[in-house]
Amino acid sequence: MRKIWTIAAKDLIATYTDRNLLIIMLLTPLLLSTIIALAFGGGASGDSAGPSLSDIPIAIVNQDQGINPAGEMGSLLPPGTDLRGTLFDLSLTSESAITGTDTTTATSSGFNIGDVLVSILAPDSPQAAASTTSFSSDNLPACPLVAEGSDSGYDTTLDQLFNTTVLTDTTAARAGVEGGEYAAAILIPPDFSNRIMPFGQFGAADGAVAEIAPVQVAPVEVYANAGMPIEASVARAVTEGIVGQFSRMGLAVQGLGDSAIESMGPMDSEALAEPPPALTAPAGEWQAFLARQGENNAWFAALAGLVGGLSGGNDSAVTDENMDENIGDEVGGALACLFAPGAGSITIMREPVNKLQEQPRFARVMVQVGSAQAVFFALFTGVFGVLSIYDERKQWTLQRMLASPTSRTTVLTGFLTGNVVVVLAQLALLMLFLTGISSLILRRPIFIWGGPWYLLLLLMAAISICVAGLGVLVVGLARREEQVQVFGPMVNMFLGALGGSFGFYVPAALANLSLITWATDAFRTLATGETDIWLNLTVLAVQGALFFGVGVWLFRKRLDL
Amino acid sequence: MADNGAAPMILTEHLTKTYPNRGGKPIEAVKNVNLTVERGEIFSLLGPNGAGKTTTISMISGLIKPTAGDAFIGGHSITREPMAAKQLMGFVPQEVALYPQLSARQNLVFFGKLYGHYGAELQRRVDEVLAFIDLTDRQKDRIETFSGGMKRRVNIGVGLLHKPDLIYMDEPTVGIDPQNRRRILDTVKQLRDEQGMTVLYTTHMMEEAQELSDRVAIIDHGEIIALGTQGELTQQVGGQDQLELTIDGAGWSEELISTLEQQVKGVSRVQYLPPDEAALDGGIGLTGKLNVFVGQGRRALPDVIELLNRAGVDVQSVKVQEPDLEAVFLALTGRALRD
Ligand SMILES: Nc1ncnc2c1ncn2[C@@H]1O[C@H](COP(=O)(O)OP(=O)(O)OP(=O)(O)O)[C@@H](O)[C@H]1O
Ligand SMILES: [Mg+2]
Repeated sequence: MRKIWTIAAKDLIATYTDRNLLIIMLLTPLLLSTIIALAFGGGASGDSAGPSLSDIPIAIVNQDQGINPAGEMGSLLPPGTDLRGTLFDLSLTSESAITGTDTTTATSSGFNIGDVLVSILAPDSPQAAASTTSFSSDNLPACPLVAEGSDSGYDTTLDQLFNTTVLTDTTAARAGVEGGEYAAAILIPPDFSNRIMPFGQFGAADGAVAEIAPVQVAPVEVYANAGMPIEASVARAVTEGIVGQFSRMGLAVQGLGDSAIESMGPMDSEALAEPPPALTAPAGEWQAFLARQGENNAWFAALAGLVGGLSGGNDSAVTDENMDENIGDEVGGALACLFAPGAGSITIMREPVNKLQEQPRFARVMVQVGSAQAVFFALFTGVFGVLSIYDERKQWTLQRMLASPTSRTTVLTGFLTGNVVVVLAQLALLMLFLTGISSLILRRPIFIWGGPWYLLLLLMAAISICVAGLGVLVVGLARREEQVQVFGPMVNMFLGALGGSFGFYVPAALANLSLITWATDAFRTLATGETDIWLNLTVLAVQGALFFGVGVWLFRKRLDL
Repeated sequence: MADNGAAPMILTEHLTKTYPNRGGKPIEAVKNVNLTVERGEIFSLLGPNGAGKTTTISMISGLIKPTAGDAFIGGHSITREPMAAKQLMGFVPQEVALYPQLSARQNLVFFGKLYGHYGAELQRRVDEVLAFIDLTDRQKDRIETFSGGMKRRVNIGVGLLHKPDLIYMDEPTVGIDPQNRRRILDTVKQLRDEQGMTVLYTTHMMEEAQELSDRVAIIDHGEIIALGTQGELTQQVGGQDQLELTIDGAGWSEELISTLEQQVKGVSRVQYLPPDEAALDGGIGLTGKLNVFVGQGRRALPDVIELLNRAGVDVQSVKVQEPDLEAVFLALTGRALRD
């Protein structure tokens, strides 16, 4: 017993004395939550306690030269494949491109993610309209930032938040910022698309894949006006949020690519059970093809989901009216939101009138946003915490523990307990800091989480067990450490997408699959002064127990030396 | 401690480890190793890289299960009574097995607790160990800020915390500078001489095995190919001593070669390098060098010197070079240890 705690405490100390870890575990979610809450919880409702933000003047310059995925991907695909459209055109162009009536523009200029960013931040500009990816907000689902109840009055959109000017010259943009004309200038570098999309890094010669460098954080420069710090940080946060989603898409695609390639060598048609459809084929055909491949290869199954989701998003917007029509399309809509947050479609819904209304608007938004971010970041702690057993094996501290008179079961239990405790501490610290930040911003002490304290504690404990259990399960499922590096974040992103951590919401039937939904819902309930979170606690605890049970069973053998 | 004082410190019986090898012949990392390590001795396991030293130690310390055979620590089977066996031993792995984010003291305290020490007693032991490894003043610093030699010292310190009867050290001097290495070798001897510990020491460096060990086992391709004291091993391969004499070239005559060969017992060969050649061989160019190959160098030395004196040759320095383990390894395997 005592040794279990010794091992757990060691993990706690080692984690909380690592500055880099603290930045990821605490600082990032705090900053994100604060900025989002500032942007959307501040002013539009006329709440005098928070800063009012709308029509922030920003400039954007797109120097992105794009990539030509057809050329880059050519080496990977069977000779003779028609490359007039690509998977990415499929996913991000409008209906017309998919059906093949308007592929010329898309193929001739390749794929330009910079254009997409422009069209999101400046949807009304002529440049956006001319964007080769024909990125039109009409085709996008509405992605509400904060949704509560069924009452749907929208009041803040990205559109209202920024007043964007599109420029072609970086010098002019910088001068504009220095002259006080803009709060920030968003400068998209020439190699932007290339750095996000992993296909730029595939080796060509024999269809084999060279070492694939990790997707880099794309270097969009946000040139900020020191005189307008809050406005500039909002611009930066929103830009980084969108770019971050692009990068995640790149990473996800790379993950799929890596694994597919690893499991079948260079992608040639013989390795496939059947030849793939032409790339210009309708998405449905691809989806069916990939699903059939998926019977043999899990990654294809995942890819099928992705293609299905993205194409679904193009023709069916998630709105209040069609919410329940077709679940498949709903997921599609959600995924399309994730990968392409639409202009004018990031919206904020008005909360139902209840006790929550008594809290300042900023605090209400903070509860919602903060708890979703906190649990989302905790998921990463969960996975990477369990993954650290591989590090312990590499640095021989695991062996050293096992060479002492301590049984394997004790070492494993201590290690897993440590992971739960680390997550619990992370949640508790985030909750404390978030309420502290709220107090600072509202200039009076406020405890945003409501109470009672024992329910809050119980809730955090249930979440920690669930999150840590998921970590064990993910690590236990993967055969090798490198698989977890890709697979773990993907699972987390998925749960985050379903659970509202990215600022959009999916129908309840799907959202309830994510532990984040159950967690945020419980936090919101407590914040409104109600105490009925027993269902949430049960769901979280049962999920946690299941994850742990199966996970530990799978994970045990990873302790073999 | 349930230590059966009569049993040898380590006894292995047919210890064997075979790793499965996908698509190839299984790797026989350790084959049928039978060893006895007595209490209070420094026993070295000497072998080249990949010989199976770490695998052997890992089985004896209960980290990996033997494919066949068993090991007994102070009479306790490591497979059947692992807790009792592990309590008797300290473990110093080949890697620096410490938490880089934690301080030296935190590392020592953590592992001390795993050996069942707590509270004031633990703190006292930690203080003692820190003093022993001479890191009392750096105890609060994180391991990641330490030099390679300091990390190695903490690595050893952790193994000593619970005052084990037996300590394993797997290549504890790898990758550190000569001063720190010297320090560690002295520490190892100190452990035996002052604390009566038994040390099982692995190395691929012949000089270390030679300097430290009471007995040596030479391991190659998973098999013990020779075992005994250094003298026994060299005798086993018929090794000869070499007397290296520096002499004043003035009094030298070629006849002395046959005189030495005939009149001194055990001399098999005599070789003379005149001053100009000796210079090439590290001499200073004024003196010649005489190499006498003889069965037992120390016994023959007085005769050799007396004979040279009588002949009027001035002997300036003498060195007795006994055959080393390198020579033994070469004789047994046909390869150099450092291949
Ligand atoms: N987990 C393992 N799986 C497969 N083979 C292994 C494993 N561990 C060791 N081996 C093999 O067993 C043999 C002995 O390895 P071992 O680490 O015991 O050598 P060593 O004498 O300690 O070498 P070094 O001086 O390099 O540390 C090597 O051929 C090694 O490749
Ligand atoms: Mg080794």
